Amino acid sequence: MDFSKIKDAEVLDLSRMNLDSLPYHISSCGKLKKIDLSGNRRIKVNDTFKKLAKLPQLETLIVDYCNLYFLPSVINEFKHLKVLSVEGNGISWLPPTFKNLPLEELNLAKNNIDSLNIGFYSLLKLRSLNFSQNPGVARDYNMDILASFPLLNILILQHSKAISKDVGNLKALTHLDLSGSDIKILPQEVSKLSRLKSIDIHDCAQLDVSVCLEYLTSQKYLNEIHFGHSHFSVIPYNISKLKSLKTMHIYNSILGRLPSSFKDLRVTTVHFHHCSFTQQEELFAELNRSNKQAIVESEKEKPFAYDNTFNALVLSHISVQALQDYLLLTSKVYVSLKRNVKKNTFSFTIEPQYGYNEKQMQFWGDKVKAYPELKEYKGIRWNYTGTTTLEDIDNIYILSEKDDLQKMKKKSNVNLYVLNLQDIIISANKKEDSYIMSFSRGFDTLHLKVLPEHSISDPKKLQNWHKSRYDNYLAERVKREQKWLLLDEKYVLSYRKYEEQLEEYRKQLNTKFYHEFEK
Amino acid sequence: MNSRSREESKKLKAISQKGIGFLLIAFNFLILSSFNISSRYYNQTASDFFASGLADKTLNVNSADPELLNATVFHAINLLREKKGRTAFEYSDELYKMSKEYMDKMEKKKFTDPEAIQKRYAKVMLNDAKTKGFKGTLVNMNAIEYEAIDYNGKEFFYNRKDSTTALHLFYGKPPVKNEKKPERDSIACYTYKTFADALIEELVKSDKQKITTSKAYRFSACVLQWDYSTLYKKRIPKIKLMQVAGGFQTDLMEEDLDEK
Repeated sequence: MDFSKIKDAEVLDLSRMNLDSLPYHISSCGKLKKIDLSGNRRIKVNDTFKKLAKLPQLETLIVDYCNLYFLPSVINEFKHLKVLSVEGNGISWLPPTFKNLPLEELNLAKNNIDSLNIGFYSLLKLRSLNFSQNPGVARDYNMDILASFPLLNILILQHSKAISKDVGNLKALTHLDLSGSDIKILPQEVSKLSRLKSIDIHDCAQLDVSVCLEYLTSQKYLNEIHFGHSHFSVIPYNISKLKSLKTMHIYNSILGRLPSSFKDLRVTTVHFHHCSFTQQEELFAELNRSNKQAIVESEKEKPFAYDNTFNALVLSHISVQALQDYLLLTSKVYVSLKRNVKKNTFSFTIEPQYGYNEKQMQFWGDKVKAYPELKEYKGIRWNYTGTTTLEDIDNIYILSEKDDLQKMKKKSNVNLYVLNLQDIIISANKKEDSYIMSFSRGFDTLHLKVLPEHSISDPKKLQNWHKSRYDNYLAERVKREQKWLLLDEKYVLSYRKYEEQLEEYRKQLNTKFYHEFEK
Repeated sequence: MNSRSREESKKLKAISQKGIGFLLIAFNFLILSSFNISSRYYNQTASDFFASGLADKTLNVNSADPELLNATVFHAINLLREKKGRTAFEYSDELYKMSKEYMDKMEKKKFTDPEAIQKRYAKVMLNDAKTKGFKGTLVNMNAIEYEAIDYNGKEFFYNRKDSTTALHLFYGKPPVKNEKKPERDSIACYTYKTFADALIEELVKSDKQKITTSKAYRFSACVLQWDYSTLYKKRIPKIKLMQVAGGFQTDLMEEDLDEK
């Protein structure tokens, strides 16, 4: 291929070319914005990603069905990458960090990802995620992580066997795609998605559509709905409860008459995709009477370009002993609650108990990291008196164990997790006499206004007491940040070792397969 | 006739109602305008306040403006703080309400022994400040009483029949019958500013906790009131001061993490 002719190219399609590696001249394509490498199963992963990282304007990268097995940590060097698609690559772990990556769209469909790790938090600009056909779809923990992305509007979970109830926590969602799933019931928590504009539940053969519609009645902005499957024959009567609905898509159904409540719907257009009709004339006459436009599409969809035979490879026998050296210590903050039922007030004391209840947890998919600098504060009680009981319980509930909501209302002890590296931050409140302790989890932060108890009465001594403690905290915080930076570097190094192992394994697999294929 | 009288009475009622309404509106307007004036006093810096010349008026019992008096003492304290390299006090409405309440309480009892007053209120001050809406947890107060006129310590007398001065106080002995020179020098009044300066000298002497010049406090408010028991007698009239200062325990923790 003559690369000198395509120096000014902005889009490059190299899909299904059976490439081993990218030519050296690709680095001269300075204006390249989109490159498609899908279907090149023998490509050298680290080499190609390193070459692509040097392209200054690359915004979209498609590496579908390339048998990658891992996403190289070089991905952090793509400084303008907005769209990344790694569909069907058998990836089971994501790199430990995604620093400086301005990703807006990410396609992780058809991989073996079980849990999204802490590094995923740094994808702050993520707007759309395709996580379908991954074992992690049913995990509550993954949904917890996704809930902390404020801009995440589009979530695609097609062909999944189970869906976590925590999908209701993704409050920024506007489009939810669950098409082709084997679920029997839509999680009731979907009704909490207050910004939802469109939902796709077509080809969910076991799903009861009328129950789903019942859950969606509280949605104010729901404009569009996709439903229907091969056994679907009657549009449910309660569809009229969706009052803001404007377009309706029905798939692969054998339809009879429309329900009588169809007149009350504000729907302007109805799309029929691959549908057949038992009483065709009457149905369309009814649609005409109620001034609704009907669009019938009967073309068959194109089959998948790639088969999935290679993606089911099991990676269990690969040794990851090197990774297990880097385990983390966890700890908890204990919060004791006191409720005054008569006054409807609520107060709690926080006791950081560091070094007391530490556990070792695995590196991958961890929730918790420790905060050693707060050891200084051991023995100090932090007092807080809240405004209303319910608001405060809600605030704490965000960061606490889920089963404890009932306990929290009855009893007086709750475990408050200290979450991400992004951490507890203590700062002075400029409007009030208190510290603000913010417990952060991605964008999910809880601010507690607290002031430690003391036995000093002289105002100057008191202020100095606070200042000295705060200075200690800041100094230790700086040390801790440096320490975490070092640890992160170690993680990246360990991940690179893991990459090398996988690369070798990949070579062996590819050579075996192509030998057999040529025979 | 009866119907006429009823109509007239109705008209009168309507007029009276309108009049009451008008009076209420006027009263509200007056309150609001006074509030605006007080806020105007505190919106400026100490040097601007004294440059405006408001504090150069004479401090007279009959025409004294209590808000102006409060403000001049407040700004005079701030000037002193600036001289000593401290930041000026911020005016706090909550502390003002609190000091006014204390002043009213003290009006019922006698304003004697200011140190005893400080001790008495020391236990309840913080709670009172919280109920008024103050968000800091450091509160302290100063209470003193000081002469309201420029008296030099010589002999003086009270002349009931005098109509030329407001306080009817003169130096020397009262004139005897058939005296050739019955005129006496009256005791001079302070201006607002000179009074505030003199008061603050006394305040700094008596302020054992050094609240006025302390770094620890950020907010303050002053309330001053004439001691009515000293007026129109053979006594030097006095003015009482109640100053409440407040601050945050966390004031020294101002460094931002980002800057670090």
